[in-house]
Amino acid sequence: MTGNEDTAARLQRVRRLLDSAGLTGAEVDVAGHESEIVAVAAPASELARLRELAPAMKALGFRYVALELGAENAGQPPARRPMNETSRELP
Amino acid sequence: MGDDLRVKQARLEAILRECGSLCIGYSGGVDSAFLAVSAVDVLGPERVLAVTGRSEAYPAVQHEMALEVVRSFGVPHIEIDTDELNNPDYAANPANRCYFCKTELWSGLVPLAADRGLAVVADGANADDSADYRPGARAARERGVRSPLQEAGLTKQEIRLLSRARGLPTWDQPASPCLSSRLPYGLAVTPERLRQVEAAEDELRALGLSEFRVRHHGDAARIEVSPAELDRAAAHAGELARALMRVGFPRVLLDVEGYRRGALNESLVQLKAS
Repeated sequence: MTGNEDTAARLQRVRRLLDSAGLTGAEVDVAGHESEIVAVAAPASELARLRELAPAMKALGFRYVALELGAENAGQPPARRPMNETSRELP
Repeated sequence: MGDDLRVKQARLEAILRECGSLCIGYSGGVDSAFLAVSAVDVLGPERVLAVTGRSEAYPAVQHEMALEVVRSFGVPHIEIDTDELNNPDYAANPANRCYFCKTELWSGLVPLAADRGLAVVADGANADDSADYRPGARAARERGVRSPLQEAGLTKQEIRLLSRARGLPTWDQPASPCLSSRLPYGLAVTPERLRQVEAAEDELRALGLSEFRVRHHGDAARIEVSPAELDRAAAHAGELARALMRVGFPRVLLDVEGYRRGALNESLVQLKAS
């Protein structure tokens, strides 16, 4: 398994984890110079739930779990999925 | 003040008297501020010199506090320029980066102290620091730098209590390591990245947050705020994102676990465990 395939597989597992916790449709992506961060685009009100899920996501090999607040290229997120609520407050 | 703390304070005073005269590596943080003022209290200002090493990695907000303390408490003080960013070993940002920074600092302070007839060079390391990963401590040991607060067994919390009793404005100041500590190991330390981090943290301060770090991950800023302020930060997600994009971060993230000291050392713990 290559690094990219590994990352894709880990992101898929994160999505399943989020789905099982009721956060269906939340966008997930990696960030950082070593892809060490899993970034979840979800409503800010879901922060507490994401905090509870953080240990499980870190167990998949990510060092940090973060809530996506905004990005310059937010129009084309790499892992976009349908989401019931608006997850980003953009400038 | 408890008996144990009185004993430790007396031990510190005895250590300072035994030193005779002191040249202190002084950042203006909780520990070095308390050490500098204690040294002046015990030895008198003519036997103490606080020295601040300045570079792009030293936060301006910390510099202001450093100057306020020496002015208010009559601590003799000078500044020297340090050039660690031009050392490739430092700029490459290895896990022992602090070793190269402190080597640069003590290489300036040790001869300076000798020139001025000051017997001992000291840092503000405390008893808690021995439990953390501190490659900078090795540079201090190699050059004979002493750590009076650590030798007296004083913990950070105890130093805060004693600082408050002495009237130091630093007593409740959050820990404030250099700006390079905001970059994960392996991501090169550059003046531009340090400026981005400093500007971003100024923005967070202006938004009313008090304990936080902006971690620079190359393609993103990852904000850590204290768990007590996490919900507040989340409620201002849009403002945070706009503020940090203004200072040049293309992507802004909020760490869901919040600020924890030495968070970037977590990668080292993972490496050791694997």
